[in-house]
Amino acid sequence: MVLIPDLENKLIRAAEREAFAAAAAAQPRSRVRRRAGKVVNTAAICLVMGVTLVIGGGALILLGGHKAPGHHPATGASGIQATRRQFLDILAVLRRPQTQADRAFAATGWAQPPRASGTRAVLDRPLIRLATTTPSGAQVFVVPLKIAGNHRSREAVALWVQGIGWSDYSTPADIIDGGAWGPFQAVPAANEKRLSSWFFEIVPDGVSKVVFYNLSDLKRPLRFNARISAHVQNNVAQFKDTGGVRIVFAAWYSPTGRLIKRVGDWSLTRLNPPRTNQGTQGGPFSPVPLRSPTAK
Amino acid sequence: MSTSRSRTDAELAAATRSDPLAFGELYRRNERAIVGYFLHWSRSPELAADLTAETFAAALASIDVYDPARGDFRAWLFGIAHHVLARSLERGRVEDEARRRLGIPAVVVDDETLERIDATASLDGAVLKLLDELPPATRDAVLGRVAKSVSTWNWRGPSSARRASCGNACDGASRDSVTAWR
Repeated sequence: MVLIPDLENKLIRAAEREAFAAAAAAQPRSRVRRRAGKVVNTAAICLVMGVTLVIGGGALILLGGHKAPGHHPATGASGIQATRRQFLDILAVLRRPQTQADRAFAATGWAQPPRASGTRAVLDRPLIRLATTTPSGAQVFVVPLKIAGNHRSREAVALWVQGIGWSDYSTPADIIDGGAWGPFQAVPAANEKRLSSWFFEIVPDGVSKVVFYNLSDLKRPLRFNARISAHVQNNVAQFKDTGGVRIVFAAWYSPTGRLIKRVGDWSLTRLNPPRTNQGTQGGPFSPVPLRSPTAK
Repeated sequence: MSTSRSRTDAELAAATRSDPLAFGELYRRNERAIVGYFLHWSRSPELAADLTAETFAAALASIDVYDPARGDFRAWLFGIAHHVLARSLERGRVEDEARRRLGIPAVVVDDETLERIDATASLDGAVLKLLDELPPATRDAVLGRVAKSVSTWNWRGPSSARRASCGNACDGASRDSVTAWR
């Protein structure tokens, strides 16, 4: 019997990523790509392409039903066009005309997106959109991009948040499955001994509100001690929270308050999200204590 | 085509770059020994899990440099484990560089995992016996240098309950600093 199955699973996923990168790097390179490769090889490379992401001292884990990046099929040029269309189909923010504010992305001082060894990330600049800003004024951009290896490419969408950085890369399936989380930033709050956390999610059209359930601990059955509601703006939900546990349990609600989707493996808990958003009211960053299931 | 179980450790290591599941088999074959080794030195299931994660991450990252002509895979792995432990002792926190470099999140250690690792503690003697199978130089390095370092280790590991509550937020800063967050 494996002692730490969680570790076994994560190592295999990491091995898949490494295998993908090695295969891409092994292909013959053109002169241009060879030059790009040198840059890649000399940079510190850290690729986090799974649904699990670790940025800035925190992590988000989606339990259940999500595929690691290594499972995504490689796509050719026609596949990329199809994926691009899928993004346009599910993200209204990409369908509106690009504005001057969207083009201001170039002036935000963005850093090179993370990528695997032997691959490069090419921004789809005409589709970059400013989605929202945080209360502190940081701009949040939706950035479609192409992850190009040699002979293999795929289209993805990421979030770029000023002062935090890049999210994980998401495919259309990731977004529809509720797996497009990040970036995540954990900062010790100035006047308290707890962590203050920022994190974001890309959601498809039709989702107007996301409720994130905060775990009290990792003992089974899992229990929640708070929920954080976020109203969606331009396909992006942003959350502020205290505490550290970051296993994703969330619920999506429509503009009419109907429960659209439960995100995460709710079979691990004894609770379910409400079928309507009544009772999940609260400001976008207001932790709302949950009643214990046994409370009267 | 040979199955994973019929292949040697060296064959699995050589296949890892094209067959990720091969590394999973390597993990399953050697996990208990490495966990037991760390458990022997740390007496903490949480630390043993973290150190094991870093050891296998480092092994995956450098699997290309493993040369079967220079020794068997387990000896090589114990060499990495020794290095990870020594570095962690020096720094007073669990080494996690390789795990982070590969984008591997911190291990989630739930109660069931803790129980399984605790049960491994009873195999402590067996783990030391495994060390006897290592080449003398490697065994002496692993046992001798670690033994010196243990006396100076000032680790404040989080309790089981705290570890469970911090989960992956333990990632990032050193785990002992979690004490201040909660």
